[in-house]
Amino acid sequence: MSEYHFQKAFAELVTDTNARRAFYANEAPPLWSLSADQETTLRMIDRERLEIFAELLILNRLGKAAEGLPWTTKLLGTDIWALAQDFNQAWPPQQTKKYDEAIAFGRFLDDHFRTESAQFPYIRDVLSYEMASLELRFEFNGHYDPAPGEPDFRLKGNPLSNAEDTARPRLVAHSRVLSFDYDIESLVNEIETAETANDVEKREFHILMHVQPSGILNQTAINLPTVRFLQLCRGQTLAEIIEQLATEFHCDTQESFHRFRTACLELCESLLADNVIVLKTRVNHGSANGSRLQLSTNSVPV
Amino acid sequence: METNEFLGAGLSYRRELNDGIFSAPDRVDFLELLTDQYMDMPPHKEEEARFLGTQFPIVLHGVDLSIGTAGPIDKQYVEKMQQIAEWVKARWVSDHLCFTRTRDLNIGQLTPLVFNEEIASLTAANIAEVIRNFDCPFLVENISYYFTIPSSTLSEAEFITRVVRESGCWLLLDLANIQNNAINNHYDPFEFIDQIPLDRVIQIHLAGGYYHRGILLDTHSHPVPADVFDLLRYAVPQMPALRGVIIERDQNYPPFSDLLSELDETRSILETHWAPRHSGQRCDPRPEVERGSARALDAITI
Repeated sequence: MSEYHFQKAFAELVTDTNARRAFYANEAPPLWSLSADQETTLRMIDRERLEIFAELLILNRLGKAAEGLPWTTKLLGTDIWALAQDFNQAWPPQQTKKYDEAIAFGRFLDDHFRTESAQFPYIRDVLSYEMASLELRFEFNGHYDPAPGEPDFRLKGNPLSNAEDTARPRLVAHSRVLSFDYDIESLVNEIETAETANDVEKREFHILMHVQPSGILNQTAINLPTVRFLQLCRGQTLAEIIEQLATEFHCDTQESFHRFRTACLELCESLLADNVIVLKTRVNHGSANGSRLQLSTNSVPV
Repeated sequence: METNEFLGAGLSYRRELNDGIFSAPDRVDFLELLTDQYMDMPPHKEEEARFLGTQFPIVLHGVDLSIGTAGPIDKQYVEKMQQIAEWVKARWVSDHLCFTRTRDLNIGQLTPLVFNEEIASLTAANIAEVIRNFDCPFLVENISYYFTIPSSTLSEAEFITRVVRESGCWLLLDLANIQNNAINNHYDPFEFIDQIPLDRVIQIHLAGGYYHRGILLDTHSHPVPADVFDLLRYAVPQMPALRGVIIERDQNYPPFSDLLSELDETRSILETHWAPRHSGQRCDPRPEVERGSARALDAITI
């Protein structure tokens, strides 16, 4: 057990800058439970080499984060080292996988940009875009689970229009609806080829990202009504969704309502064909998508 | 599973090297896959591993078993190693003689152990438990370290020897790490090689790093230095159980032809210096084992 305490203290010494500072200032954290001999041993380690090792640990974490969030880290430019040090302090290393480190760094940055202004206003869009694609790619993890919880609604050859009052569209688990302040597609194309994206104008932009049953990640630019349709695919019947959307988008006349209803049914059929939604029979109070959709500030919880 | 075939000179597989490897499959004798890159990953990684296993002989190499942690081994991690070994029909499996984590922290870097009898016995017991889970040989690799723990009572060579003899494991000898440690910690690498149980070496690693603040780092980012090839020439005649040499390149990727040249040089050294390959003699590398797994030893009848 004494060896365990020594390793624990050593691990904290090399990963925690504040603990290291306190230790060398003779203010060692009391939780370390070291014997006098063990403490002496720690003090005798070449401090310069230990500092280099500690720096390498942060670089290592940063390298993994940069692999998962290449465009965001590129935009951080010279600020990145200071942010990486703060990240290391705020989020002690617990996982070694690139994905986990990238997600952790992304969440740290998301928190950071809530209070600190960024050099590039569009960095939050880029971050939420990269985080969503990273999370979807890895959360999928081979378990394609469209929308668990209740039996699927079977059309049995009947047209969708006959099932409006009973079929309840549900977004599959491996989907995100993302809304941005900038045209994210143009933005990442520019960042890919240049250091930053200049002359980027604000423009509302929406994307549907989803993992197909084959594991391939798809993304499609969508318009606001489609966003709203997808946001409502969480338990209401198709008729209720159409009714609510028709009100929102002011389809007040019989003719405009009819056109809108037809468009909704076509959209619903194409989303079904693309495995973006499934039809369910009952309201399921447990969310198929859960809190995972709320990780990024700009993603719209569905 | 028997490991009686000499695999030759191969590469540590990286996605960035994939095209090069498949452009010259007859010049890459075998591949080493990083176990951790296939754990808890989306299904395409399993497909990749299985596919590579149909194209090349595969050995597995992990970084996060943390075999030297003072505490029980992570059984779930070992089970995942086993699963991946089955996917690729691994000839052998390896990890590092170090610790990477405690219960609460994952350092994310190979961290040196205290070289004393208590840690040697504790580590050997952990290794023996791991060995019992595999039908193929289990190897441990010597690491690069930038400082030593002052309370060590054994030399590194004594520590390695003790762990190998007590656990019955095999060795993956990283000659670049020996060279780095010799430079950074001021000793003679040839003398070091003379002190370790070379009869237990199944695999060798070669790599190149660079200097940072006066320390030669183990970064796998540069060509294999001439000094390291000199160590290969010196060591291989004394390694009757040797089955393969892997060149590690993880970053700063050169034209693939450079790596092929390094493989050619490695093969040429093996042709000239590795006597068993020419004499046709059957070597029995089984040494006296104080404690360990009969199952693993049976698997390596040569």
